Amino acid sequence: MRPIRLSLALGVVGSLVLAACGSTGTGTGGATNESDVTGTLRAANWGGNPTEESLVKKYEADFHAKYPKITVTQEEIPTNFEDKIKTEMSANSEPDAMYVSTKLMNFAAPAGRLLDLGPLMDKWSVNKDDYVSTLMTPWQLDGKQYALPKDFGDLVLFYNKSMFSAAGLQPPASWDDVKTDAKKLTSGGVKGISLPADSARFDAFLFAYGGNVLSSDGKKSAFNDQKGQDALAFYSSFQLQDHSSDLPDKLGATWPGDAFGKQKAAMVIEGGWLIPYMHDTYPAVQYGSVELPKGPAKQSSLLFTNGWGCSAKTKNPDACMLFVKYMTGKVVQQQVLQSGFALPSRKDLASDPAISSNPDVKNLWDSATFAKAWTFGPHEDKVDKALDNALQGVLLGGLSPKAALDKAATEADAALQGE
Amino acid sequence: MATLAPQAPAITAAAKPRPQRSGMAAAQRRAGLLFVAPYVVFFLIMQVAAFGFAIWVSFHHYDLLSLSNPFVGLRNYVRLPGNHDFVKAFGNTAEYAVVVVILQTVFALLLAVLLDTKIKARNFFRSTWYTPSIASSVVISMIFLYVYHPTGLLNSILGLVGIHTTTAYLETTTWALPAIMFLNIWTTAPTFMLMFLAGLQDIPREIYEASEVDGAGAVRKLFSITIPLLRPIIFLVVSLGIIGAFQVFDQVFIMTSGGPLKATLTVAYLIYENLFKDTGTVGVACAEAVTLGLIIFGLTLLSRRVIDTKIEY
Repeated sequence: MRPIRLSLALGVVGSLVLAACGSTGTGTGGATNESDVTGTLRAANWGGNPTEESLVKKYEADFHAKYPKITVTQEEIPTNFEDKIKTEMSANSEPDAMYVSTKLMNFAAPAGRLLDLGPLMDKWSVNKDDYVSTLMTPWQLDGKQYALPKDFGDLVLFYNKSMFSAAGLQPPASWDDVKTDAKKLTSGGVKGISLPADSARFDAFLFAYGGNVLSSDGKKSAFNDQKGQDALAFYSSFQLQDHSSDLPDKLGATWPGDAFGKQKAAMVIEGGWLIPYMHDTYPAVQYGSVELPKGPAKQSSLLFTNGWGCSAKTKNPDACMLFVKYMTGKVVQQQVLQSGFALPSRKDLASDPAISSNPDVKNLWDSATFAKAWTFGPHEDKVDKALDNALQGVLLGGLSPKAALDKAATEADAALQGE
Repeated sequence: MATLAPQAPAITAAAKPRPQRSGMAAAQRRAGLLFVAPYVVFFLIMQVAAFGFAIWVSFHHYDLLSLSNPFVGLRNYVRLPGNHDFVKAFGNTAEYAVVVVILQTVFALLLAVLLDTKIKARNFFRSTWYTPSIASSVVISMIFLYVYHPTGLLNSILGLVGIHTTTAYLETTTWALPAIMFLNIWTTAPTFMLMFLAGLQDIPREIYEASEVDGAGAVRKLFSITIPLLRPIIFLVVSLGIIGAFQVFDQVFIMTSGGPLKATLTVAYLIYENLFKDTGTVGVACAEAVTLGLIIFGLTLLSRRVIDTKIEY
């Protein structure tokens, strides 16, 4: 099937098979009772790990048990989810319901390929105030709501408890603390912290310094102003001036969490995914967490979120809305929380013991209120890459923050102008 | 054929065989066309139409999800030389092609010449050397992720001989491209070795015997007989090598995503990025693809000029 799909990407036979693979269903028209809604839905999700996959299957089975007149066929796309959906959309054969990543949102919503859920949310009494508000904005464009958040992760500072107590240190409460602690904890092959050349970590610093990735209209890069340069100077000072940080691979690790588990780095800035990882891979390591300290401008963190949304071409919008409602509803969200893979998107779970009784999960949950979503419009892939290259240029290539960011801004602007 | 037989008696004896044969030939032609039709249809849609469509798209500002894709003439082509990514990718690809094509051709030829001598356990070597070519490039790339890991196989072996390093080969601009070059030479050379082996078997033994009478040594025989007489095969290997090298994608996709600092960004990978990872750059991707196709076509013609000249002995 692969070569055929590739040609579909080129749109060659797109018109030939137009609608041939479209969804089938009877449509429900005027149904006003949830139990009267009928239809068939194709629902696409990406494969995380086997446990997450089986959980999605279970949620969908539960959904069918609750709404027996709606049949859901799961379509799992193991990798390159957005590429596949984009191809299917260009051939008008996309699934009815799908995971919507911020990336998918950024190319599909402006092209009008996602269903505006707003009117359906009113019709089927879905209250947007039930969701964490910072999780709703990534799916909004021109006053329309194109998806509902299904979970999220954000960044906090994890520290190695035994290394801190051996050095007689308290958990850091400010960036100054982080800096001095990192220096004290560095010795031999062990570094105080591991800050990668990754814009998905650096952007938290950028925001804390009051900087921004893009201008407010999203048409130009904004990360190379004085705030951005200061943020990058601070970010790189750990490695370049203090020698208290190193890139994960220099520490013999694949990613910062790996360096943290191997106790080659005493601190890392990571998200909730570190918790099951440490539990499975490095169960002996004792660690704790704190919220990212306040920066010169404000306290910030990065928010990574995914949602459920519907194709604008679905023949069963009501059934799809009920599906999205269920998958982002309290019953499923409680199970998301208990699975430990991600945090739930709903405010009404704030008092759940799985959050309130676990200090690390509590830190992650509380950080969502001031965190900013990691999403930068239809050209974000090139923008993020340009910024990654700036980080590499400073951390590996000896460039000054200004030179590196100016170069990245030129690259990003070229992409933003659609070159 | 059986249905044609009743017509035969009506034709004069002298002329009989010819019309019958042409009648049969016509039927066979029809049957033949019928048999190839599925492929021809497939070929026309998937190759010819797709290629034509790609050329058409390359003259437009095109997006996969947009309904209005305005015509922009040659803009996508004119802007390529000023596009830093394309220039970088083209430089990387050219460097990659030169190194890989030369080394893998030499390496394949040496392996083939070695196997053509009467060394012991020839079959064993032939099979083991060919093994890397059997596995898919994706699998090989995954394996080499571990080989090149800071604490992976390569550094462990270096450690055994006293060189202690935790170089992350795929994370440094110096080593990332050479690392992919090496892996590709290692995988493709054995395939070309087989072609050279076949070519070697076509060289008449008498020429070698005659040269031995004239007092030629092994090196003289290699350069004066083997290599000149292998020219058609060398042309084949070099052309296939150039085509393969200019299309390098899988290894980059799996191992580096074009990084670090675009050190392994190749034209094929850039096309993929413009096609899927950005919005509104499908036209640019197609312009890049057409340009890449023209470059490969030109280089193949050129290598034919240089290598594939007739030699008579």
